[in-house]
Amino acid sequence: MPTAAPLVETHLTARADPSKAFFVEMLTRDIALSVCILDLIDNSIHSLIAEFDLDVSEHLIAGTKAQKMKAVIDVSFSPHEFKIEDNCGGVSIADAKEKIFLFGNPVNDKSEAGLGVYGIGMKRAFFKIGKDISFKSHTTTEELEIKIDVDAWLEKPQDWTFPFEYARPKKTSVGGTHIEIKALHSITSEQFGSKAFNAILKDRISRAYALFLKAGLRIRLNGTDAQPDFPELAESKGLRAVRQLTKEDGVEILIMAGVSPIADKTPRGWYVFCNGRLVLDADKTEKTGWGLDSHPIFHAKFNHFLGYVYFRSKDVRRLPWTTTKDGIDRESPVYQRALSDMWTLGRPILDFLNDLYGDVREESEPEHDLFRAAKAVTLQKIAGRANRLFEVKLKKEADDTPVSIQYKRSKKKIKQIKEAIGRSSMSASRIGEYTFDWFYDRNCK
Amino acid sequence: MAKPSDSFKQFDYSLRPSKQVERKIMIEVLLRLSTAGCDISEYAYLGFGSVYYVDFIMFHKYLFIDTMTCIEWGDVAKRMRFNKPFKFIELKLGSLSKHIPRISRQQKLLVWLDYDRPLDEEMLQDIDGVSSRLGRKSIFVVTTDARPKLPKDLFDLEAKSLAQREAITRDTYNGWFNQYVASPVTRTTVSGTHVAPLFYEAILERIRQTLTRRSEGLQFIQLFNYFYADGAPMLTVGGLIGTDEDRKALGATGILAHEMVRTSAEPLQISVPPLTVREKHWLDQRLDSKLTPAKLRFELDDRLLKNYVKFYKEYPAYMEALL
Repeated sequence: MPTAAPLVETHLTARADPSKAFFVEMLTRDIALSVCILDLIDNSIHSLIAEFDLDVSEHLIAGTKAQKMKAVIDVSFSPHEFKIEDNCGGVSIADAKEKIFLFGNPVNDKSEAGLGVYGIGMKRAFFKIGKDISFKSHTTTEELEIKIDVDAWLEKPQDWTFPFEYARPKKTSVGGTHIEIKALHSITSEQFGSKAFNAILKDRISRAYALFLKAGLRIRLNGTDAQPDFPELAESKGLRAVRQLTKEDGVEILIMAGVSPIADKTPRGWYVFCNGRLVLDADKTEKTGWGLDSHPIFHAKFNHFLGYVYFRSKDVRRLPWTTTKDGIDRESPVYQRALSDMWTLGRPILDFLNDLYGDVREESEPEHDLFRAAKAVTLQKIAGRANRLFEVKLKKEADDTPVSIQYKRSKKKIKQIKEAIGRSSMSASRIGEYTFDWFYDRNCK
Repeated sequence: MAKPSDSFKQFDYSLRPSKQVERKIMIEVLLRLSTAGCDISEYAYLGFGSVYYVDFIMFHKYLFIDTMTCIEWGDVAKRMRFNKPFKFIELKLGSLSKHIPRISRQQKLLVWLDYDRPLDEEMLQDIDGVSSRLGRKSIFVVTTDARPKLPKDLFDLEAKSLAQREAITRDTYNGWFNQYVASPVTRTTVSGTHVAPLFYEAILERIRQTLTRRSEGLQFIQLFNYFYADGAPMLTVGGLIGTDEDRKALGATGILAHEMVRTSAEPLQISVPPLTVREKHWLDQRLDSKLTPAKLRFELDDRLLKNYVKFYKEYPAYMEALL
């Protein structure tokens, strides 16, 4: 066998430079357009949090009222252009120069609160939407504009910068950012022309930012204000939601769960939030453990199961979200531990619903009484309590409460019984009672 | 939800000789754990008492445990209160699932989920829940009926043929246990008199998966794998929730090699024969490893004889007492 030639060069290296096409064409494939727009809204909210040190989930966890958010994020689009404008504080020249256009946050970046984590969302959204981008921003002391011509930028593979159009001092009372994208991709343009897309996006905004909207933030979509969409837990005397707040590795985890009000006909499930932003919406899948680990698969009888999990950290990198923020990093130890608690705490709720919708309706009357009496309670109220477990206090029914029995038997057999007892006109239900009493009198009295 | 069983109405728990042997050998092993830094008397006990509270009495008297919680979900609140042998026992009425969130990770616990029904999904959820809460050095024991029987309240099998029943059991077990066992459950598996190896694998894997999920470096250090039949075949799996360091400490004391400890999938068979007092005395006088059924003056199965020779010290003697 020939021996391999000895390695002469000892400093060989393999190339691993990034390609612009990867960011422009590949990364954008894994994300839906609506999710990209939420990424841009996240950026605006992130500025707001940084500028005014607002943290909606901190208030939720403490059960206190958040300071009113006075900002507006205005999103509008047509088949020809996309715009997002906010008055959330803006970006400084230094940050624009050194930070926000980087592809990926440097790992040694200092820990930061808010909604920006991976340093990819905004650029990915730009590339997903179109090719001609204008990014204007101003703080209270300065203003800047950066323009990106994507085609021209792709032609210069070694140039990893975006030139400023201007960067200069300017005094204003409130900072803000204005992004405009033109030369839309044809698929994007088609979606922007569809009413259905507008409705889907509005729904997503109403749920994803419900906590922020409740705190006063306005998000406008094509001229209409999004309203917070937020299911509430129901409680009555004897039926109380569970509330547990724990801290793991610098992450606060608040779990609240119980049943939704009887009038709420939407199938619920788990709602998972990271720093106030919804990342899993009414989840009924394996992501929140349904059908895993011997837990039941979501079933219509669990429609009223409603659980909230809030992860909060001053260091966004510790939170279990994915880069697209429409999912959860299931492998993350923080999430795994939360999942375990979610099911330990949630199981008595499923037991209650199982009993509520058991085989014999009459046997679950006490459960139904509690459920009917339950009224919606604000999350703030539940969040503000001390830790407590799900509580069901049933009124014990007296043993002589009547229970109805229903079953089917053939006409032929019923006729035979009628003949046997000589009562040909007796109704089938009377026959049922008669035979029951006959057995009872002989065997149980 | 499964319905509470009322097996306590059928027999007095303390009169089942193999079960009693099991309690005693568990006590023997648990007492020895102190040499590895687990002083069992400092533990709290959590278990299902039933109206006899046998485990509670024995664990208090022989393990010196005096913090105890009894979970009972049968409709016998008054009997449970009436029969509570010691004041310090805390009685919790309702299902175990309601109590699991109260388990504290700070308290070292001995938990014995001593079920009288075969393994089902709900029990796996209990096992998952308890394993997710127990703190380091806690001891977790699970006993289950080892027969391949489905819960009667969920499956109406009476009108079905044997072949149909077996097929339904196989399919149900595949649904329940497929994420825990290496190979699918077959008709052959469920047609036998017991499925202890299947249940053993499922219980162990359930605990392992939950501990892995906790990512605290905890593992299940198996101590018990017992199989016996006082009537129904029963399986007991138990061990210490500990770290690699705890495993080493246990290994260093020699406990893992103790004859009553089983760290493998091969169970210790602890079925002992019901004997009359005369038979017991006769055997005790002649105890010898060379004793064979041929040498006896009465009929006795060879395996039961061997087990008696092994467990004669733990064998319970009962006499009627006119109180």
